[in-house]
Amino acid sequence: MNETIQQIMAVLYRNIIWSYRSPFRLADVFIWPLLLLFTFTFFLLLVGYDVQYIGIIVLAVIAWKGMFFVTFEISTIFVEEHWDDSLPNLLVSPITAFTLAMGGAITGLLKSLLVLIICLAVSFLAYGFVLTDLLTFAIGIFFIFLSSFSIGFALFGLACCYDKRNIFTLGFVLPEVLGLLCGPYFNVEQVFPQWFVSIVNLFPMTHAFNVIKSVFGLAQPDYFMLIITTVIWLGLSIVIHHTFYDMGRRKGTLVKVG
Amino acid sequence: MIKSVLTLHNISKSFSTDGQHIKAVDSVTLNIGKGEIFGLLGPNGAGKTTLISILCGFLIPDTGRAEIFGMDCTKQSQKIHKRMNFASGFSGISEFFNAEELLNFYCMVYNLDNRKKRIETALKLTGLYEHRKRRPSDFSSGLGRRFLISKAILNDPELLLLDEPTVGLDVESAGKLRLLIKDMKKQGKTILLTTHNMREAEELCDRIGLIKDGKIIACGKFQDLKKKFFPFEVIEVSCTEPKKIEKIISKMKSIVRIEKSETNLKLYINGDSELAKIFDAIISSKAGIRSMNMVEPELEDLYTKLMRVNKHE
Repeated sequence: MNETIQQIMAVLYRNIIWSYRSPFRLADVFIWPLLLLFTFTFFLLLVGYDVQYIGIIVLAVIAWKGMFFVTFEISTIFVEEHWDDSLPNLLVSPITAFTLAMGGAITGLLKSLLVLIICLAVSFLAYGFVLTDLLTFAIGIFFIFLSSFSIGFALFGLACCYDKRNIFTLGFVLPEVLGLLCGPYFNVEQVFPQWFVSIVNLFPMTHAFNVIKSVFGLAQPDYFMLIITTVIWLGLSIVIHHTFYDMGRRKGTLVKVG
Repeated sequence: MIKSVLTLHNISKSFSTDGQHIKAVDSVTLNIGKGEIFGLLGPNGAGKTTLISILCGFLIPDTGRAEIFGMDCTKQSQKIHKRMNFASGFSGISEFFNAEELLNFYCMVYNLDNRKKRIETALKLTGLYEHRKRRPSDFSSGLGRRFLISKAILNDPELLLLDEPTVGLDVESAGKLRLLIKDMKKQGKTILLTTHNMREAEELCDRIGLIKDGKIIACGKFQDLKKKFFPFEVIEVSCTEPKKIEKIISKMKSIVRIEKSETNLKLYINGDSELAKIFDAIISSKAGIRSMNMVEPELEDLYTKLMRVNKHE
């Protein structure tokens, strides 16, 4: 088998075993997304039930959590191996930062897929919601995946150079905060002042969330900006990753041996 | 001429911590040949781990070039890593996996075929096969070290870097590990070993390098270093009247120095041409000799001497 694919499979193998045996990781998939979903939908039931709004909440939760999973999983392997003092064992192997990150990202994607199945099933049973435009949603999720990969890969680079504990925390916080700011279930123009809208429009997630909201006709997606910002973010993340990876190798912060 | 597997050309590396500039490695040049066990010895903070980190590609040196199999450790580490491996006595082991699963993960990372067979062989070689379903993170330190060695031999590496592999092990476990290292040498593997255990280094290593304050202060075969740094033959005599012996032999040309206590005499002799004459003289001295023996310096003596000399400098 191709070496890169085999290494990505290795990361998946590791993460699946880890996820299966770690209650913390199981809760990530089976508890928190549903908690978030019901927090929103219970409130919606209180102020006025509409299956369209239930739908946008369901898709927002899936995309938002997906963003978190992909970002978090990319940087977390590196930090977990560091905490186990096992990082030298991994880094002395032929695995590359890219394959590690891809393995993490695909793990995040698989977790997102599980959340998608659970959320769609629960929302169908509880509220009768059925996702009709799967293709548009898939396009939105794909770009969420790419932009989350950018954030995760940049954080992975930072973890090579700076305190891994802080970067781990950032891996938790950043996707959640950026997710909210990019309007997962609302239009940023209706909520934020114009100057702030100009800023969040530079984030590819804002445009990806618009694609998802367009499933219900609640937003007008700008595909040009979506592609341009995604490409810029990916490019920037590669530059940031390599810069800090090399800096870590110069400073001696990449990995501690002995 | 033995083909060089590992070469360090004038490697230097400094770190700045808390406003202090520390030169961890200072102009180190070193060659290790194929099939050789090379021991890197030195006190804590001497620069051993920094050198290992540079060789693993974890650190970029400030100056110089580190090469393994003729490839640059900084730029071609991925290619190098396919043919080498590393085990540290200080490494931890990931939680949540049993021994077999973790080795399977590494087999996949190295893109190895016959994974089941390789894992079985590695675990049997390190005596861990019956523990294969246990989590290595729950192993005792001895089993944990052996597990790291089994990880390190999975890809059948041509070069093994072993950073204090027997640190903290009981006598029996350390002995088993040393046997394993000897077996690997028989298979033609090149091994760079760092250790604080002088007897271990003397037993295992073909050549040693002593490192202090980031500099290699001596390098070579132990026998050659012994000749260089201990040029004198030493005879130790335990007797009741050491003065009698001293009186007879002090006039002999080859006697360089005599150390005397109440019941002991230590004679430093230049060359072995007069040895027989000296032995005869001692025996005929009637000094109440209890014992007499030639003192062979050990690696520990060499280490102590060089570290002390360097400190005085």
